[in-house]
Amino acid sequence: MWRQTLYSLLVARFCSALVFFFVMQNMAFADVLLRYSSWIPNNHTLRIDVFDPWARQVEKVTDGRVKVEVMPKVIGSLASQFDAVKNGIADIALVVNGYTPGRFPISEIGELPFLGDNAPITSPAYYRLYDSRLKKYGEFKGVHVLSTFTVGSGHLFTAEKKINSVEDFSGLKIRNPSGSTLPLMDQLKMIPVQKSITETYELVSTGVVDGVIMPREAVEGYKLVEILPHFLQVPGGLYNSVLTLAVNERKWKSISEQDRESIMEISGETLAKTIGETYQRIDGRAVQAMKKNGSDVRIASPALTNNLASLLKEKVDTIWIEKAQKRGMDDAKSVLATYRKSLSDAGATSSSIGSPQE
Amino acid sequence: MKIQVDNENSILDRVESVCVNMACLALIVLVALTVCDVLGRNFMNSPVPGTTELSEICLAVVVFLGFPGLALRKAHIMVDLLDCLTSERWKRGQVMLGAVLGFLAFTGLAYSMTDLLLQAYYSDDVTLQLQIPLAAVLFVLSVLCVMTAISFLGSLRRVKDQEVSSC
Repeated sequence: MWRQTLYSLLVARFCSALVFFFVMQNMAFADVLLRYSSWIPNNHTLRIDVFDPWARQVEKVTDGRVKVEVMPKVIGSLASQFDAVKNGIADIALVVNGYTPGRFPISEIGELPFLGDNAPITSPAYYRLYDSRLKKYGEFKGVHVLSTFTVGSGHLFTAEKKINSVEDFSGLKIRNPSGSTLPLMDQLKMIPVQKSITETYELVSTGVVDGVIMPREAVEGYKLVEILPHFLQVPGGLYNSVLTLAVNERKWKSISEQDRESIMEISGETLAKTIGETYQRIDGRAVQAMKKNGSDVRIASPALTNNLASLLKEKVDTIWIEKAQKRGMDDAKSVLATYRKSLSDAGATSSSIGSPQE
Repeated sequence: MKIQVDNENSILDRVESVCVNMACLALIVLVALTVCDVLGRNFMNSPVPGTTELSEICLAVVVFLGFPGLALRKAHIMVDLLDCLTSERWKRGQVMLGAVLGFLAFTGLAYSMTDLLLQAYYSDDVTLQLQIPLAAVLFVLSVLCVMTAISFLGSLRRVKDQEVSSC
């Protein structure tokens, strides 16, 4: 009896030592494991060309000490990605700022009309603006911002109506992409319809909406080329969207300082630039697809562009400036003026349709 | 005896009838909203602003308004696979256990709701078009969760009088 007890104790000890050994070995493999909640479909270009390579690069630059595991399914809803990261349900997620209206009013500066349509210039420029002027207002408290950027600029797609003048916009029922585009809709007297972008095909085909404003790539991504044959590119873009790649703050701090620096080197502006270049490529591809379909692909005439700009710029800007001032950004007006000037100096507005490489 | 029992729970009964009436009202609003939106959109080219978010809120409120009554009347689904083998007393115990579990579940739900409510309040979350503060909506839902939990407790006192079905 006594011997038996001793024997089983020894076996138990051996087993626990074995378990301990394996656990330690795994821990040595990846000091910090970051679970990335991803909602971008597996076969989407952004996933294949941007985020999956970025995740692999994180592991590489930290010599495997930090590992990013892309979760097979999104954790929580699209609108709750920020909270998921903040509360540690996921470690990393891509946040669409516009999906939680009222939460990030300052970052809406990147969504204003006529900022630029040349994504390789506008996307990294937005990160620089965030890093130098917007970060201090603490809109992203509780998470660390790995990168934040604008995407491809938004333009007008209609099912039947050809747009030649500002008056033609009036009365169009248009799917509204976010809260920051409501002032624009209002100014152009368009009627905003609030539905998910995934419902666009149904909305257009049943006549619930007359058209949409969205980035060019979406017309191909959501298979809308045939149903939306009229495309009007507004030089500078009607709007844009700000996206943020965020990591849980506590998890971020558990990574050594040296590794954090290495990760930021491949994130931040670098990642924003890759995003911009990718958008330019897929936007260009979508324009090609529309041309191939025989769609009416046009760029707004200088007269129309000027009319739109005079109608929109000041009014929509003022609304943002007031919102930002309410959040304590006293110099909002001058920040926006400087941002607009730096973008136009950098050539963020192109005069050709789709990608300039065409 | 019967009247006395009803008196004991009269406050809960009143709460339930208010909730049910309000749920009916919210349903009518929901229907009216959809009708006006579709008619306005198709014939006058002007849909009702914020229909989507108002419908979402109405739907959530309708569902949660139904919970206190559901708890009080024990209208939730209960499946007993061995009801032929168990005694009346055992069955009453089961019903009571169901009420206690319901109480615990809704206490937990109320707790999580309050968490969400605080989060929405401190981050100024609003709906997209009409800028309705989400904290206000979540407050209503949290209160209804608390009332449901209380109703589950109240339903415990009625188990004695209730008929327990058997095969």
